[in-house]
Parts: sequence; C-alpha cells; structure tokens
Amino acid sequence: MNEAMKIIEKDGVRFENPVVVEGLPDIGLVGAIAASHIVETLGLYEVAHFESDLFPPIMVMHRGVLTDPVRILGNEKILVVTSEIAIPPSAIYPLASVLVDWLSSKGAKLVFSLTGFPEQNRLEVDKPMVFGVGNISQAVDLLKEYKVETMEEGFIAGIYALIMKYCMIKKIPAITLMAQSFPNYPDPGAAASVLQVLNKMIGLNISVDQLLEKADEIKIKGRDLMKQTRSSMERIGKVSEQEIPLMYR
Amino acid sequence: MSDPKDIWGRLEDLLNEVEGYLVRSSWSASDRCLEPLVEIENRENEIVVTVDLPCVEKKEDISLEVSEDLLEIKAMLKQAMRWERWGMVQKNIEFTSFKKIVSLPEKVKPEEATAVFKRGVLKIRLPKAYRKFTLKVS
Repeated sequence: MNEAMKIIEKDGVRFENPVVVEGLPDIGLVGAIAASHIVETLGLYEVAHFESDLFPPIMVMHRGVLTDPVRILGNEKILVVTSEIAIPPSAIYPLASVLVDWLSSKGAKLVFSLTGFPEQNRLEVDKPMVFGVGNISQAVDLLKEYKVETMEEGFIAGIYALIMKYCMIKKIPAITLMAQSFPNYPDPGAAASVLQVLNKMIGLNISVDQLLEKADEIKIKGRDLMKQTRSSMERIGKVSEQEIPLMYR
Repeated sequence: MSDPKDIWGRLEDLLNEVEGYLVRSSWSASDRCLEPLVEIENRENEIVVTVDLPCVEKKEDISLEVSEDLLEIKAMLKQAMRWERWGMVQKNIEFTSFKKIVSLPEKVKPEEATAVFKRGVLKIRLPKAYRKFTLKVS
C-alpha cells in the first residue's frame, strides 16, 4: 500500500474490464483537453478521486459542488483519469503506482495515455501527426494494426512513462499516443488528432468538431493550467525527451 | 540525525513546488484584460518572443511598444468574453483584450525589431544591441 497517495472510490460502481484513458496535464495540455472532451461528450461521472498530501491544498467548485481536482471519471466500460491542477513532480511516482494497482484490481484491459510532443514548427502543421509507444507486444501489435507510427528509439519522460512501466509489470497493455503540439501553449488541434486515433483504436465515435470550434476559448481557459504544468515539466527532466539515447545493445 | 544536505535539498524541492502554484493572476479586473502565454527565446544574436493570442483576429488589433529592455503587447479580442459561473468577482468582468509587459533578458535594438502574426500566434524578433562576431584564429 502506498502511504503517500490513495484512491477513494465512490460506492456502487461496477466495472467490466474497462479501457482507461489517462489525460493528465502535460505538453500542450493535449491529454487534459482530450480527456475533458471525452468526459463531456460521453457524459461520464466521477467514480473515484485521488487523495494525497503531495497535492497543493486545492479543491475545485463545479456548478456549486466541491470537487477534488485529480479524478477518475467513467462508467462500466471506460475510465478517464484527469486533473485540473498540474501534478507536482513529487506526486508523479506514487500517483502512477497507485493508479496502476487500482486499475489492475478493476480488471482494466487496456490503458491509453494521451499527450503531446513538442513541435517547434507547430504553426506550419495543419493536422498534427500522432505517434505511439506501446509497453508490451500486445500494445505494440495494436499500434501496428491501426498503422500508428511508433517510436523506435528515444526517451519518454512524464507520468505516462511510469504508467506504461507499471502496467508492463502487471502485464496490462498500455499505449501512449503523442501528437505534434505547441510545447507551451494549450493545443486543442493536437488533442483532436489524438482523439481521432483513439476513436479508431477503441471504436469510440467522439466528434472533434466542437473541440475545434471552441479551440480559442479552450486556449484562453487553459492558460493558468499550462503555466503550472510548464513549471512542473521543467522539474521532471521533460527536456530529456529531446535527447539522443546511446542506443547500445 | 538527518543529514543537513537532505533537509536543504528537500526544502529546495518544496520551495520549487510551491513556486509552481504561486503564479500571478492571469487577468486584471481594472483594465478588463487577460495575460497571454509568452515564450522568450534567447538566441545568439536576437531575442525571440512568441505570444499566444487566441480570439485575436487580425494584426491591426495588436499594438506593440518596444524599448531597449521592455516589450509591451496589447491585443483586442474579436469579441468580449465573460464566464458567467467563474469565481466571485470574475463572473462580472467582461474581458476585452490581452496585455503583457515582458522584461527582455538583454538589451535590444528596438528600431530593428520585426513582428509577424499568424494563426493566432505573434512572433517578435528583437536583434540584440550587442552582437557577437566570429573571430578567425591564426
């Protein structure tokens, strides 16, 4: 049991080997924007939240109701992990560990992390490309089946790296989908690109039209979370994703 | 007894963490403006400032003032914005513009600065006042 972090589950929720989508704040808030769009479109409800002294003392009010900022929303078949605050670097390890233990106990069959990768020429890119990384052969095969370009060599840094690692230990297939993104600005266009790939891979039918229509407003609303996230990313060695590995075998 | 180095290391981590959450307010009620996200790149011969300006439609809506060490950006939103359920006082504010004053990391030549606005992103190039030159070694 992890002392630093726990998941508090709502009563009466049943799960049927759910597919999991992690969209915690990261590069371009791609995952956070995509997760929020999934929750809104599918009308998902809160099934659990995270509690930890490692989080800042923040709660969120939504429609007059006090809500925890780091939550799992979903139904029997799909779970979405999302946060309205940047995850402090000290909370990343316990959060990933507790999350994967909990998902394993719920019989999660497949875990997706949605994020961005920094594209310096993002302004010149009309439709961001999506790349994938899988943790075990089942995940890699799935990426191949859906013709998602994969990364052969390189570093990945952030909570999704740990989620994939802990899922590998539990033999849960996990995939990270990364879209070309503005590194430091919220990027709804990149979020739309990862959602389109996710749609194909798990048979969702989530339209991204509204997401793209509201892109400007999302960018304005996402400024504060982006600032927090930028500060957090600087401290977790995110820059190492741009470095070349030695590639010895 | 704990190693004092550990304590200082932990304290530094804690301060860094707190700093991440002590971001200044990104809006101002008095002049009904929002603060845009800005990136500053300190290159060899120039400083490049990039500003995200969603909801700004055309370059004519942007005004820039540059001095040797300061850059002031103002931009009108294409329509006023108000979030009716946000906060206590915020819900009554109709935001009409972006505003940001950037302290430049080095002195620049304001008269040689250029700016381009494309797809909601403003890019300002400010040549440094003191340029570096390459010397041949003999």
